[in-house]
Amino acid sequence: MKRMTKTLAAGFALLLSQASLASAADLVWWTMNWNEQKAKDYAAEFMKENPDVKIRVEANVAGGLQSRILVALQSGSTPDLIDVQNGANIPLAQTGKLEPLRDKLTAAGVEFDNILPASLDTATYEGQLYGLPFQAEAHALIYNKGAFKEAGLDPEKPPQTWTEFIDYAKKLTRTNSKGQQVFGYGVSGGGADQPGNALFRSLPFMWMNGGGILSPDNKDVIVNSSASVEGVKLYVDLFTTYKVSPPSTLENDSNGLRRLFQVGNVAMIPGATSDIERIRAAAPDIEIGVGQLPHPEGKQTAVILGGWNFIIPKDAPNKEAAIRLAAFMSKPERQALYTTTFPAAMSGLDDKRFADPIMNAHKEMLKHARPQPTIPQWGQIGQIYYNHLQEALLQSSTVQEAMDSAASEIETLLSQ
Amino acid sequence: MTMRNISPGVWFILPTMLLLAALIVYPMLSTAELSVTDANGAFAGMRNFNVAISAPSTRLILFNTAYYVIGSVVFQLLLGILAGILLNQHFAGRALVRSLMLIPWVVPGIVAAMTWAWMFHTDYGIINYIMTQVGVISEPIGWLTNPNTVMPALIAVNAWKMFPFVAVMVLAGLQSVPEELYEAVRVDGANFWHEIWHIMLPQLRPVLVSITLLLTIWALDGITIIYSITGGGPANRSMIFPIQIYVQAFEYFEFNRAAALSVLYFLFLSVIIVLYMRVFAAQEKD
Amino acid sequence: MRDRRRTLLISLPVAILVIVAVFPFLWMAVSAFKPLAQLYTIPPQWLPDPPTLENFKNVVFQSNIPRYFINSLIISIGSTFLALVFAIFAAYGFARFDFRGRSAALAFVLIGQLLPTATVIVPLYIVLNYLGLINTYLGLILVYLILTLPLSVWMLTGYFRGIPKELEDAAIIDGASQLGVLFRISLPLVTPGIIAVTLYSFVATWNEFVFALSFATEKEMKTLPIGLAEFSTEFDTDWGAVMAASFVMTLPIALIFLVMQRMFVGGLMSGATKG
Repeated sequence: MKRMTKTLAAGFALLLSQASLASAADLVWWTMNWNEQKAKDYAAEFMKENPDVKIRVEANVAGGLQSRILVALQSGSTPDLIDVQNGANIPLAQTGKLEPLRDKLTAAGVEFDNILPASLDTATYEGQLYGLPFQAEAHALIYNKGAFKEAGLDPEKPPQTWTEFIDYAKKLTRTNSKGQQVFGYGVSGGGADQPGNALFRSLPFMWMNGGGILSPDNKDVIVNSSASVEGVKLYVDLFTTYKVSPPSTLENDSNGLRRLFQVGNVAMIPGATSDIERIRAAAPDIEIGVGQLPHPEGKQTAVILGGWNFIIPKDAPNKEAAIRLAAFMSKPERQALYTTTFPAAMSGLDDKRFADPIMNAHKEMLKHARPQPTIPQWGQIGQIYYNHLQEALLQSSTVQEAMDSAASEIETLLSQ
Repeated sequence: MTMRNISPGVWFILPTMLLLAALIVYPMLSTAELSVTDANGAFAGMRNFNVAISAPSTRLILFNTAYYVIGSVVFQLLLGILAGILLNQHFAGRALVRSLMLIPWVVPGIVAAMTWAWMFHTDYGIINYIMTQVGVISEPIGWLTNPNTVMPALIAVNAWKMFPFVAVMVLAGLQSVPEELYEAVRVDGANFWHEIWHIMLPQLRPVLVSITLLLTIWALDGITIIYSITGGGPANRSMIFPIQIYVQAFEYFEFNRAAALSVLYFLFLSVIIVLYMRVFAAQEKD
Repeated sequence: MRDRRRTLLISLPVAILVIVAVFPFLWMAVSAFKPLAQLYTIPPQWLPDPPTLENFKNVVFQSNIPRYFINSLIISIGSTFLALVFAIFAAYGFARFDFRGRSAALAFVLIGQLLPTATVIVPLYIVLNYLGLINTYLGLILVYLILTLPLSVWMLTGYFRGIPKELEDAAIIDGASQLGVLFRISLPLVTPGIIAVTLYSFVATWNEFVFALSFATEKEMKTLPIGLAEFSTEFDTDWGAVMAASFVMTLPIALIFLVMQRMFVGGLMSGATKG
C-alpha cells in the first residue's frame, strides 16, 4: 500500500513538472502542421541571429483553427505570432485583440512595396494594418488534356470566354472510350469545406461580369443585381440546365472535386497550384493543362485572392521579438520556401521553385486577384449567400428569387 | 444543525458536487453575462436574444433539431436494446461478437463521419454502387443532397454510432436479472418474446430511464456528425441548433449571440430534465 | 428442440447486427491498405491490388501518432479512474440515502452537459489558465470529468438501486460500517455496471477532439484525435493515413473489451441471491 502511494506521488510530481516546462519567456509561434518543420528551421536560424530570443514552435491543425485562435485571444493568454488564413484576418482584427503592425514592421525593415497590394488589403481594417501576408494564391482552370483530345478539343487551347467555356463543357460531357461517364466541369455545391469552396468558385463569375455580393465600398448589397445574377446563373446552370457537372455536385467540396478529376470523371476544375501537385501524386497518368478562368466576352477575368498572413495578438507577451521574427520571415527568399503556393512578397516568385511553366496561368491570375470584402460580417454574408446558392442548385427557387432573398437577409444583417 | 444531522448520503455525493461546481460555475456565469452584453461589454438587454431568434431559418432549424434528436434516440434505443438482449444469449463466438459490436462507438467521430460521407457519395460511394449492382435502384441516389433523404441518412449514421453504447449498458443491466425469474416463466411455457417483454424490459427500466435522458442530451449537443458530413446543408435542410451556436461563436465571432442561444438551450434542457425527473421519480416511488 | 429454434432465432439477427456494425469499419480498414490511386475510383474498388503497408509505416514511423498514443493513454486512464472513484461514492449516496435536495443534486450532476460545448470552451480555458493547467495532463483529465461524471453517476445510481436492500441491511445488522458495506457487498455486485461505465469513460475521452484541441497546444500533450487532424493539410487529407491511424486507435479498445467482457458474464447476481 505504501509503495503504491509513493508511486502515485511520484507520478503526480511528474505531471506538475511537465506543467512548468513551458516558460513565459519563450516566444510562441503558432504555425500550421504542414509547415512545422520549416518553421522550426527558420526559428533556429532566427535564434542564431538573435540570441536573446527563445522560440517555441507549436503546430496547429486546419480543423478548428479559428476557434483555437479565438479561444486564446478571448482568454488573454495568447501566443506571440500566429499564421492565419487571410479571410480570417479582418474578423479577428474586429475583435480588437490584434496589434496594429504597419509602423513597427516598417521600422523593423519590412519592404511593403514588394508585397502584393491585394494581400495587404486582406489585413487592412479601418485604415490600420493587422497582419503581414506571407502567402498568396489564386485559382486557375485546371483541365484534363486527355479528355480534351477525346472530345475533339485542342488541348493547348483552354476556353477563354464564357461562350467557349459552356461549349467546351458540353462537348467534354460524354461517355469516353473506356465507357466511363465524363462531366465537363465540377461545380462545388456542398460538402464539409463550405461556404468557402463554393464562394471561391462562384463569386469570381459575378466579379468578372461587373457584379458581386457587395458593392466595392462594401456599403450596398448587389447580389441580386442583373450582373451578379447572370454570374451566379452561369454557375448554377452548369449543373441544372447544361448538366455538365456530376450528380454529386451538392456534396462536392474542393477535395471531392479533385478526387473526381483524378479518376477522370470531371474534366475541368478550378484550383490552386497545390491542386496540381496533389493530382500529379494521385494520378500521374493524367496530363494536366492550366488556363485562366474564363470571362464574359469583352471583359476581364477575376478571381479571389487566397493566402495566409502572420498576426500578432495585442496581449502577446513577447510582441517586440514577434515583430522582429515577422520581419525576418517577410524576406522574399524565405517566403518562397515557407509558402505552400506562392509568396506574398512578389520578388519571391523568381525563385526556381516557381519556374515550372505549368504555373504560368496561376501567376497571371494572381494579377487579377481581389481580396474578399474586408468587413467583419463577411463570414455570415458568405453563409447566407451559400444557403441561397444551394436553394438555386436544388432548383427549389430560381436564381433571381434565391439572390433576392439572400439580398434581403444580408441587408437585415448589415443594418443590425 | 450539527454534523450528525446531515445524512451520510450528503458526504458521499459532496466530492463530486464540489468538483463539478469548481469546473462549471464560472463558465455558466460568464455565458449568462455574455448573453446580455454586447461585444464591448455594455449591457444590451434582450437584443442578442431577439437577433438570434429572428433569423429567417429559425423555424426550419428547430424542426430539424427535433427531428434529428427524436429520430436518433429512438433508433439508438431500438437497435441498442435489441443488440444488448441478443448479446446476453448464449451462442458460439459471443465474446468476439460483443467486441465487434463495439466498433462503431469506438471509431473516432470525425473519422466515422468522413467514412459515411464517402460511402453515401452519389458518384463514388459504395452504398449506391451496391444498390445499383443488386438492382434495388436504377439511378444513384443523392442521399446527402436530396432534402428528403439527408436527415434520415444522418440519423442512420448517428444511430449506428451510438447503439453499441446502449447495448453495453443494457447488457450490464441484464446481468442483474436473477436467473430464477426466467426459470419461473419457462415452467409456464413462456417463449422468448414473453421473456423479453415481461422480464427483461421491466428489469431494465431504471437503466433505460437514465440512458434515454443522456442520449437526448448528447444528440442535442452532438455536432460532429452533421458538421463534418453536410455542414448543415443543402440549404440548411440538415442544420441543427447546436451547430448554429458553434458557427455563431467560432465562424462569425458573435460570442454574445452564441451565449444567448446557449442560455435558451440551457433553459430548454432544464425544463426537459425537470419534467423527466418528475414523471419518473413519481413512478419510482411505488 | 426449443434450443435449436432459439439458436436460429438468435444467430440471424446477430449476423445482421454484426454486418451493420462492422461494414463501415471494414471499408475503412481495407482503404488503409490501398495506395492513393485506388482510394477513389468509379466504380469503387473492393480490395487493394496490391495491398500496401505504406500508410501504416507513415503512421508509425513518420507521424506523431505513437507519442500521442501515450498521451491519450495517460489522459484517458487518469480521467476514467478519477471519474470512477468520484462516481462510485456519489452514486451510492444517491441510490441508498434519501435526503433533502437529493433530486436537485442529481439534476445538478448533469449541469456540465447542459451548455453546448462551443460555449464552455473559452471560460474553461480561462479557469484552466488560472489554475496553471493549460498544456498539462492534469488539466485535460479534470476537464474530461465534466464529460464522464454525469453519465457515470447516473448509470451507477441505477445499478446500485438494482441491488436488493435486504442484502446490505443484513450486513449492517452484523456490524459492518457504511463504507464496509459499499466496498464488500455492493461494489462487487455492480461489477458489470462498473465495467460498462469504465468503457464509456474511456471511449468518450479517447475520442474527444474539441477540448483537446483547445487545451493542449504542445506536442507533448496532444492526443490521438489531434493526430488524426494532422493528416490534413491546407488542401487535402491523407485519407489512407487517417484510416490506418483510426485502425490503430480503434483496435486496442476492442481488444481490451474482448478480455474484459468475461467479467460481464452473469451469475454474480443470481449467486448472491441464492446464497
